[in-house]
Amino acid sequence: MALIEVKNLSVFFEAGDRIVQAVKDVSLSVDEKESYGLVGESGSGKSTILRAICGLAPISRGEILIGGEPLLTPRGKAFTRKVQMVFQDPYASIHPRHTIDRTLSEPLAIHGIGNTDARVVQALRDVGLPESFRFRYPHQLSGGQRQRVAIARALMLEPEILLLDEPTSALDASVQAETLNLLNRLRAERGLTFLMVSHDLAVVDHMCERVLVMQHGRAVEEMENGALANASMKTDYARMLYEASADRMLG
Amino acid sequence: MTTLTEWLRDPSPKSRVQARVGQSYLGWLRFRRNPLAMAGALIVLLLIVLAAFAPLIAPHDPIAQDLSQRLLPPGTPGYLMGTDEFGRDILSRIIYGSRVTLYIVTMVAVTAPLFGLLVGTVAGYAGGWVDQVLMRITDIFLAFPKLILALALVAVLGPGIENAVLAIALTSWPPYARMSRAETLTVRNADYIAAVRLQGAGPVRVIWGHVMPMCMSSVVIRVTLDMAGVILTAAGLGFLGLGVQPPLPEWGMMISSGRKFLTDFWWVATMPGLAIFVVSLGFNLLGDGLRDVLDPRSAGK
Repeated sequence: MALIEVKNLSVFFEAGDRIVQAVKDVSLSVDEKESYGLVGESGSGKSTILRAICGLAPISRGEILIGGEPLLTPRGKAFTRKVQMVFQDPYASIHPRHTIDRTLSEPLAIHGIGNTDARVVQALRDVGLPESFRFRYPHQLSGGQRQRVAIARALMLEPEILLLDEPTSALDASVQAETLNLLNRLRAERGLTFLMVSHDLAVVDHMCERVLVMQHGRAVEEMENGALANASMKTDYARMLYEASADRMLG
Repeated sequence: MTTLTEWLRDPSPKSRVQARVGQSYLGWLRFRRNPLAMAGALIVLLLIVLAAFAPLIAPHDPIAQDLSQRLLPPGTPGYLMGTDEFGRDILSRIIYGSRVTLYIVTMVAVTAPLFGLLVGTVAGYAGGWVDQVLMRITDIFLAFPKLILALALVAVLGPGIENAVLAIALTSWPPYARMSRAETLTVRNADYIAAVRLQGAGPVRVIWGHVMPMCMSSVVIRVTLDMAGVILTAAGLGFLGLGVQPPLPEWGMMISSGRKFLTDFWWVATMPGLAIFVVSLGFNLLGDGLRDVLDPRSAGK
């Protein structure tokens, strides 16, 4: 059974007297323990789908089911223990005045989960950060280290689903690969389900079993990972995206 | 000594306390580089010491009258700053007066900014009608001239030091509310706020634990810079006879009583005036220095 089901989702924003349609009639379904990618250019509405799932963007039409159940508004604590998100920019997604320790123990405090010290130390170890980073401030960490902290934070509540909003696009190439491998390892270890947004087909090819290509808020084409490997996409737009990142994929 | 510095500068602190103290230490290092700010801090420290040890420092009883010694000029043996029209030692009265000033400053600094911060962050974070209602109330308070509103309040409540504090606090919170609302609007859509909301945090936790720390530094700077104004307002109330009541020594009241013989005995009004001037200047310099240390735009550089 599908863990995440998005049915005919549309998201509209009101900008003054104009209505902007960020997502138009998109449907997708992600199976348990699957890794599903959303690809497209900037402004294609891929991040908006993630934000709509979390309640950061409105669901204007259609519906979203998690584990077969429709979402509540506001999402509620049960939802937050099931679904967590990793944001794009690690420089903006960690509170600048809190130590790493505070950032990681906050979700435990919210949900009244005890044994904070051991859990925080374990979380740091799981994402490959030394224990000595625990009481540092974010400005003492590099971008890649911050993104590891953000991943650790998302995993504190042991969710089933991780929403990844371009988790590596703010990092440079070598750190990007490390972070993606970390995510793959964590998924294998914990049986996580990923819904991942990227503008980079090479990243999605590395991470995802199925991919949905989006353009101007609409779904263009859904492909299996195999279709990427032998370049058998049906639509021109998907082929164009593929050609833009093909050289990096082969290498 | 070196081990303490090492402990403070440790890049990988071992505990929450060490992390926080270490950050403060780095701020102190930045603060120490600014000589004017250090001068301001020294003046404020001096004020605190004077107030704390007034009975030990003051050479005379500030209230004891001695009409045979009235209106002695500064420099008279035993009366460094001279005496006033009742023969009371002006230096002792200024030293005891620092207690009143410090009391008013502390009480205002604790109440008004906290209230303003609460109103501003709640308005900014909640938005909608809550924002509208709270900010319109703030606008109404801002529309009154500060000293006039304080005068009216004291006139209604009766003169006295507590009522003066209340009047000053009630007239000085709106700027803090506006400022913290503006800060809140810039951080409320930040990813780190979205992240903590996604973890299930309620509005109280978000505002208290995540929004307020971002507003704190600008509030602290503003409070320090406003302290000069608070001292002047308190002195103004004292001057008009609506603040502290005699015989308690208060700087504004001392100026007021010296006004009557300003031409013949200039020191009676000038000495407390100088005290107000120096302390206000001290707070202003301290505030400027704190801005260099705490301002988020310059932090981290």
